[in-house]
Amino acid sequence: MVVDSCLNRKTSEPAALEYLRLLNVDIANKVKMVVATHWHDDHIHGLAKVLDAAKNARFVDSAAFKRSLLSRVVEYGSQTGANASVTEEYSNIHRILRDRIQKGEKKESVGPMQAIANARLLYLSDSSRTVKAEVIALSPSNGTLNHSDAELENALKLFKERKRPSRQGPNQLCVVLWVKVGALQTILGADLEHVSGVTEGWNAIVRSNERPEGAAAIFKVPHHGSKNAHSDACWKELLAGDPIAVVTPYAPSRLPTANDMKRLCEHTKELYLTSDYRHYKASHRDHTVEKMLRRREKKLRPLEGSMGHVRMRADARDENAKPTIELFEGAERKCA
Amino acid sequence: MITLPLNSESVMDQMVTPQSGNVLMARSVLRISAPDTSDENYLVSSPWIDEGSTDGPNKNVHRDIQLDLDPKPVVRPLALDISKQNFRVKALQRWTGHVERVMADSFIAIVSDLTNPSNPDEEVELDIEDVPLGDRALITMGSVFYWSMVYRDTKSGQREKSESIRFARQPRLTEDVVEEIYHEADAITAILESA
Repeated sequence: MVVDSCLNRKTSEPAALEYLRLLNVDIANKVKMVVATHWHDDHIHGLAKVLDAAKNARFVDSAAFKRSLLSRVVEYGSQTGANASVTEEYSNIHRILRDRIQKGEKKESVGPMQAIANARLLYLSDSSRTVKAEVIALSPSNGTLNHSDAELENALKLFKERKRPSRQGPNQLCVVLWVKVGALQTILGADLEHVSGVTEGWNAIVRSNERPEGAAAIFKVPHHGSKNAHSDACWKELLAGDPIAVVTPYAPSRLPTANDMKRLCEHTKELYLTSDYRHYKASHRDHTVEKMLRRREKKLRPLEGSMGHVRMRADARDENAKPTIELFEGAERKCA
Repeated sequence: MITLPLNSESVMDQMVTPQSGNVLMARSVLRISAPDTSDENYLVSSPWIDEGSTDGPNKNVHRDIQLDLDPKPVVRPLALDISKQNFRVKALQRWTGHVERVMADSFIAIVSDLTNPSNPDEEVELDIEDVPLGDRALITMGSVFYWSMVYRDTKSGQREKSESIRFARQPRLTEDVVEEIYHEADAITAILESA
């Protein structure tokens, strides 16, 4: 399964494809599902290419988006160049799915499958497997489904004005995943934010009577560790004690902040950060350009660094197995 | 041969001398006859005046300079080398960006390096004073702009560095075009939602 995508800037290739090729994974046959948790550009770059390579994967996105409105928004955006990186990506995804269906592949296999809270998205239990694997969506909740039209209509309005939607928009529509492989349980928190209402966000997940049982030992911290996405109930009810938690940074908003890191360390000692935006190196340019920038007192702050990577491996048959953690390209352990 | 500056806020301040042909001025109308240069890119942001052309005694091709009806945004990337002109422009650095936040005298933007695409996106604070008067109304959250730094080499051998920020303008899509886009989108949706 591949969840979201980003590009390796050096190669312009999706990081997931590069990684799977490095491991000699047969992407066309072994990748069963490609998930777009939401359509923000830091989560979707390169996903069409991933889907194109994963020829037998089902595509999943959020049930919060009305497909007819989403299609209009992405087609308008991609054909007029508005916020092209996102809309073009999604338009390409739609076209890949359309082409597969038109070639005779079954829609149940191709997708798009729309994830909604407590829907099982994947279940692998055939006799050739040593462990069963299951993926269940924990969001979006029913309570969220009413909000998506407003977000899409606002995006369309901005595209018509040739503007980009703000990155600060709400993230209530995204897909949070519960992944169970053998005895190992993981929550991938996407960018879901915490709201006070009980029918949305993390409250809706915690309060759900239909969510999977048990506690996850591994947690992808939502929304780059921001306090907007923090839910004490999530840490208490959904996660095991001292879970392995991974945070990915978002430099434009300087997330996670120092306070975010301090707060997260109060909940787990096993916190990992894929890269620290405070250490990003400035870009290299022609020295004449650098002089002009200095003379005009223009400082450019890089928003990306190396492709940090946290890898966890465990024997999924063993309930007590503790994953081994490996860190690459600037990923760090925090809180130790 | 007469060279004339083009003094308009929305037209780049250039001296243009065609290689051959005549340049005539009648009142406020500028008619240029010049070899066909339709394969060159020009940085313009207002239409040239279209004048009917007649053959001149030297039999140069009179080129109708058309109104810019291209539906794409009016601001185009800078031409790298307009060798037939009286100056040479060398692009040093180009970015495209969008506005994240607007303050009293400046705005914060995220820019993508067009000259070195492997460079990461960057955040920068730019001064509103650096934006041409005609574009300042376009500085709002989400607005897209082009930022470039160039060398300008004149025929007389002078070189100057120059920087410009220009905001993209929304091409007016006709209702028919929008309907066509929606129609295509709806066709895709119908297939994706088919049983």
